[in-house]
Amino acid sequence: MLALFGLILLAAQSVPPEVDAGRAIEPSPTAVSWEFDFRYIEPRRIEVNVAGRTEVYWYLVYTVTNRGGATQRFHPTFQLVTEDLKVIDTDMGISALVFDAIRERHKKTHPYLVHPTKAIGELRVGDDYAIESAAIWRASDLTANAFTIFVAGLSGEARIVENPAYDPSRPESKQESGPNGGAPAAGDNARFFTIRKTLALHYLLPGSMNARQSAEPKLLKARWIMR
Amino acid sequence: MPGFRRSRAFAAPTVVLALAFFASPATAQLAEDEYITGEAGALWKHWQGALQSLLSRDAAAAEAAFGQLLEADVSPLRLALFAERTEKRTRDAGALLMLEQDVLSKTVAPNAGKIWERLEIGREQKNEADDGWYFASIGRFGVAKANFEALIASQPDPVALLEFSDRLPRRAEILVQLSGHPEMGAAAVDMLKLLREGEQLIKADPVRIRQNIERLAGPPRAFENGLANLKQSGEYAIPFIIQALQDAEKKAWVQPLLRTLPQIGRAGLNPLVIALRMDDDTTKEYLVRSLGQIGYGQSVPYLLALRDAKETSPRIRSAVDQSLSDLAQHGVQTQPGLAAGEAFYQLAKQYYENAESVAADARLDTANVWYWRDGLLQNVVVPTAIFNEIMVMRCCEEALRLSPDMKPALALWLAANFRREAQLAEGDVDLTRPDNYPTAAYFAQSAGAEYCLRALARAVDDKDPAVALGAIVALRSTAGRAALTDGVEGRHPLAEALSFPDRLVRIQAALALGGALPTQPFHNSQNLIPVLSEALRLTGGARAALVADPDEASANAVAAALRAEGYDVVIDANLLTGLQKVRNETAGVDVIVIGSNVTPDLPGALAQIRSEFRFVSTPVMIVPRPDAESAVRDRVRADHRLGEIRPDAAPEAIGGAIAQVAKAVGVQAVSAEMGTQLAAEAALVLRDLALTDNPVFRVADAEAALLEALNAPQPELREIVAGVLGYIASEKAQRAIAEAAFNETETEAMRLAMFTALAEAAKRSGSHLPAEQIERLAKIVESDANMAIRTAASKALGALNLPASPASVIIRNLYRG
Repeated sequence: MLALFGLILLAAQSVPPEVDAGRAIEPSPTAVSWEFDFRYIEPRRIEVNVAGRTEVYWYLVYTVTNRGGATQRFHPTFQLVTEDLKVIDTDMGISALVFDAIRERHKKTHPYLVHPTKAIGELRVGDDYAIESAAIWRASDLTANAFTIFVAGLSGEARIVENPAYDPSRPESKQESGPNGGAPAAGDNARFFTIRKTLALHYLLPGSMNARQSAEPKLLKARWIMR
Repeated sequence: MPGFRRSRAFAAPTVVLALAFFASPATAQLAEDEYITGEAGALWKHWQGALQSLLSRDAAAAEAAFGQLLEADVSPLRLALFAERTEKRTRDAGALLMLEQDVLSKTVAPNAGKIWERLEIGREQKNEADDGWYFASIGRFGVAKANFEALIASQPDPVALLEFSDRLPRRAEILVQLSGHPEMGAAAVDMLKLLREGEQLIKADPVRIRQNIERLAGPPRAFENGLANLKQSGEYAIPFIIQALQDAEKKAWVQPLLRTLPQIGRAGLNPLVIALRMDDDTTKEYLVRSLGQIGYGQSVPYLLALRDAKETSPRIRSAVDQSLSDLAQHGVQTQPGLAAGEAFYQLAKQYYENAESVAADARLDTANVWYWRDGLLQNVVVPTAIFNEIMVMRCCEEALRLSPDMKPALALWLAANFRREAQLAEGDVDLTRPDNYPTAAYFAQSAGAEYCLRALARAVDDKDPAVALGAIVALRSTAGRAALTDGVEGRHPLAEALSFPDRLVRIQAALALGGALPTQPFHNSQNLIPVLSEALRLTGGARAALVADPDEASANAVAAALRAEGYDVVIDANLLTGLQKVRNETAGVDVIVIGSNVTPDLPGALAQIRSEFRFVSTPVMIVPRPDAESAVRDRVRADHRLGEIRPDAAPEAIGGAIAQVAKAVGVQAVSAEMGTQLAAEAALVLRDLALTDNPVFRVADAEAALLEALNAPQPELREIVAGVLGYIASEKAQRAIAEAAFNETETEAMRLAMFTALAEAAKRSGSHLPAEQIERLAKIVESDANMAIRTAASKALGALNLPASPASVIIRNLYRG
């Protein structure tokens, strides 16, 4: 079963050419802040009958453990970016039936799986307090055959960078970005952007659109980036 | 200028890192050197010279080389790319360190200091480009947008940016993918524009073209490489090739150049045919022969004109004959005896009909119109949208120069000019025309009714609202009654326009024809009163849209935005049923919105829409699905009747996009103000028809529309309408006028006008009022508190000429002993 587990890579590796369109901004080579241990199973599809209709979801089951020296807040964000640059957020509003079906499927390997909303909170030090949960996306949103899952909130490393388009003659926006990494609704004149150490998992979903329904995602690369 | 990668500014460790980074085969740009040619190649030599001089401690030589770079106005981004290339491809990187040290110690020479400042700016631009693409690729669009915006604002060198972009094919793809993104679509589109500009500049780079021409005289491989690059440069290469052909010292180049010219192909035709105006017969002969070998019909009129010109030498005439014979072998047959003027007119028609074989590259925003001035070929850059129209006008001008009486050529010129004016987007300029060039209307009015009618006939055939409207407006302002109704060459284009698919064209035609008060029936005359009735109903403006999109969420979003813009919206998931609803439920539709995944498919759907007469010129806006963005963009560029919108765009943005397409097509949405104006004009035409007791048209046929217009909010319109209704001897008409007169919530002025209209109506046709209304009228006459109202009402009452005089009753009722 261990073979199913992907292990995060702490050092940036050479990036497959199809992934980046610019030089990745890399995190510090040595840890400069707290960091959680994050293990996950490759994303999977699940079909769930909700209100008489079969709905399809993708999910990623993970275990997060605090191996540092102090309790930290765990508030992860999972974003899936398709190769055609559609940003898909995890769906918090899905039916409880979906999570129940995922928990049922993984009850032997992840007996303590909690609903995504319950995973958020203080994460105490040690294996005994590890959290098992799942990030879930609606399958209908995923039509491309390559995608990257970005997991933020696993590290305290962040960098404040100046907004090159900041206009000092206009009021400064308090929020630096809106949903999906887009500009904030109240205007896009933030003085700074915050980029955080983020785990990037690059996947290929082989086959045609129809075959994709049953295709298993193939991990191309896992790496840390600043996002 | 801030930047995320400030720490990557040049330093020794960075060189090592950079070398390591670029050693990766995955990120190395294989074709990088391709761009270090032409102007960039010449600059690279100065740059290398400067660095090597620095290394050899020859400060004066370095300063001179930097001075040459400044003189050539080397761009910051180009310098940044040079610096990077120096670091990774040469052993001169130490010179950059020395330069930096000189800057830090403030001992840098003036030119070197200026170059360093530019280099810093260029590095910032490169970082912004890199960051923009990087953050876009990981879905941090806000950050990507900020970087691209900062980069665009700094006006980077488009050629250098293209070189940087092309290092990774994914970069251009990202921009295309994000060009419709709600947040950063505009920045992506601006970036794409810059890259396209870069492409054009590379193609047109004179140094690069000259270098490639020189290669033609080299060994076979050099010839092939030079030829390939010159083919890429296309029309831009022609002036330089001609220059080389004329150079007495380059005799050895002539044969390779003559082999090259035909291979540039169609792209070189436009400058080549214009260059036939040169005086140099030797070169002219070369060009004539090349035109025959290129094998396109576009050159026929120019060749015929050259052959027919009296100053043409026998040698050139013979070359022209040979060239025409070569063209015939390519399948371009020239009719025996075809006059050059007629050939130009035929070519003009091809441009007017947007024939693909003569059109400019629709993927580009601009195209070139070539002129022969001062012994040189010169290009004028014009928006692609009006290239065909300009070429129509040029060909017609040539035709008229050769055959001054060619009426169809003048009419086609007028039509093209109307179209050119309509398709010129706001803010764009047509540099082929002088600043004070008169409007299309000016030329149409000057040309007179016959030519306007000819242009209108063409517009009716083409269903072209821009030309039709222009021609009708010109006719209305200049043509006499006979000209309007007589027609031209057995056709009555104005009458035919009564059935035109665009509402405004129909109405303008009806106003023109009705205003001429025709006394004989004519083709389509049965449509005049219905169209005038249509105009009477426009008082509130009219904007209707069909949204046919299988994606329900997208359809609803677009429909909501259109409603916010004042449209009445018909919505359906299926195009065919949607069109049926439009036929059944609306008087017309101003815009059709379809999803790119419409059934059966996009080309089929567009064909379906255009196959129906009334939708031929209707603006169609396409909502592209992610898998069809590029296909949709290509379609939109190739057809001015198409546009592109995003369902999540703001209503104003959607409205703006529709307005842009509508302007290019020449259709106008009828605003409330315009609707009221048209309704009033229609009412006046009806009044004149009634007043003259027109033998052809019955104003009573417009009664229903007049009754509706009587309830319009505009008082001036209502007064005119009441006057017209007064000519209709019907109970409905008189009752409606009387009701308006009796209405105490109306202003006194309006009531007085209505009583007057009622009196006039009664005088003309007697009383058609029911007893109940007569009683109310008598009561007002007898006891209304407002004496002015009572007086006006009394006139109406008297005009009714009732059998039992109500005056007697009133007198008795007012009796006070």
